[in-house]
Amino acid sequence: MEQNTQYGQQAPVNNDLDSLYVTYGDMVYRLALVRTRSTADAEDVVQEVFLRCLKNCPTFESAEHQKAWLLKVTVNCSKSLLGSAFRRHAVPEDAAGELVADSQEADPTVYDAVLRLPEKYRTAIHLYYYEDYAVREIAALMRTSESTVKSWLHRARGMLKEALGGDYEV
Amino acid sequence: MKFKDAYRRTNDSVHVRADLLETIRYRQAKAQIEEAEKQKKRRWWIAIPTAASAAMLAGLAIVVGLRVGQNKDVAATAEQAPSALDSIVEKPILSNAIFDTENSDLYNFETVDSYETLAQRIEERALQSAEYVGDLHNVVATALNEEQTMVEGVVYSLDIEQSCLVVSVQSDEKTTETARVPLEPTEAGEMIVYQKQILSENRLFVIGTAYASEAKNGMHQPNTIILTYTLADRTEPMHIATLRQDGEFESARIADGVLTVISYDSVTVSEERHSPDDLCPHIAVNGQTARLPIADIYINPQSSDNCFTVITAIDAGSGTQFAAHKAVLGGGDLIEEEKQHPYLTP
Repeated sequence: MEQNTQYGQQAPVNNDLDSLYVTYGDMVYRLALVRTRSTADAEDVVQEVFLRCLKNCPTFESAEHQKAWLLKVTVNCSKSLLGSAFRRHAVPEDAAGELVADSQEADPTVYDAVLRLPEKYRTAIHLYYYEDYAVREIAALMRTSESTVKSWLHRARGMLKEALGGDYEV
Repeated sequence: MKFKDAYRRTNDSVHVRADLLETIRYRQAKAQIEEAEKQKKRRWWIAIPTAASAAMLAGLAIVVGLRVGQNKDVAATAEQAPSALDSIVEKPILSNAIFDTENSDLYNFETVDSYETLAQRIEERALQSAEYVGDLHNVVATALNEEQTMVEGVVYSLDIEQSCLVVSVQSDEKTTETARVPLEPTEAGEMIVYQKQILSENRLFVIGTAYASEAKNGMHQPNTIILTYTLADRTEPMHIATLRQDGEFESARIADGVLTVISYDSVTVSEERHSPDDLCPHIAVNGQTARLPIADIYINPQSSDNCFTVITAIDAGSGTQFAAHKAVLGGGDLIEEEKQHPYLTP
């Protein structure tokens, strides 16, 4: 997909599939990829998220509300996928290099370090560092307490420091 | 280089396939056709003569009445008779959590012969720094979604709202509230953060972490609290037990009729001499606190972390007692789960 996603507070609420996909497709895919660590699984999650959106036709107050809804459904869909009986017995995981191979901007070392974190840690890291969500918002998205999210971020940062050495300022 | 910048740039280079949109359109069209087929069938059912419908409804009412009565009987029996606690210990969920890992390459837990030995090991650890890095890729992480729970063919959803647990029945079209459970009043000076709700047959478990400025009733702070409610009458849940285990709540799930609860209990080491009660994890049932027996405590030599991972099993049928409990010192800063096995990683 050549067109990079643009979203944020200024974006209008999109209801038709095409504009929804253009606006939020990458966002949903990136979170799903971080959670599932597999392109095939992440694409399954993307399909499920947009199908649910089309089926339920939720009314959104704002673009931020719409974005948060999609992220929450992404978390839930990938959770269901990871919890499925098939997934528990067959877990093909793509290497980080394969997931971000084609770009000079990409840093597989950093991505690999994040993918090696436990599921909820890497989700919290992604929402915090990439989606710029506050701890309170991450807690609401992941249905947990703020203290738990703080604890996840703290532990995740420690693990990232250990994995990345002194090359990166975490 | 800043991690945030590198991570952002990397993510910016990741894009979803454009042609996936066609697949979504196809699946949406297919779903619409299937829904239309369902609607046709529904219309056919509406055309059944009223008398026949009434007769069916009457029959259904009798069946439902019998089922509700049966549920109440089951709940009453579970509360009166002791549950088969011994059989739970034999179930794989707890035994595998510890014993399956003894022969694995990743972990080799040590047993402890006395509380004195344990205290000595804890103090040694306080002087060390953690060096071991777990091989996370050897661990399969799965999460079980228990926010929505299917019981007897009905999807229930659970939510916490203003110190109440709201139980709702979900259908495609709407969510209908069926019960509102006031959570147990907090003890003086204690703050409880409720983090998990699990519905299983006639039992509802509300799990969270209790924080207080100082230790209460011999428990460490913070500790995990498990409130058990009976749902024999689904519209009037009744609180029947409060269980606690030392440490901050980490994870809970139900498998094969056993509720497994995992918490982290950090050990605070000072220069004063420690008693076993200072160091060892505890459990409590309705305010009665007990220290974990030394036979249920293990040491993970591959981690120098001074933190117990406390794992307990509760018979989900009664929910009033702990059936089994284990703790691993340095057992895990992380827990990864499959349905049958929690894995501990240092």
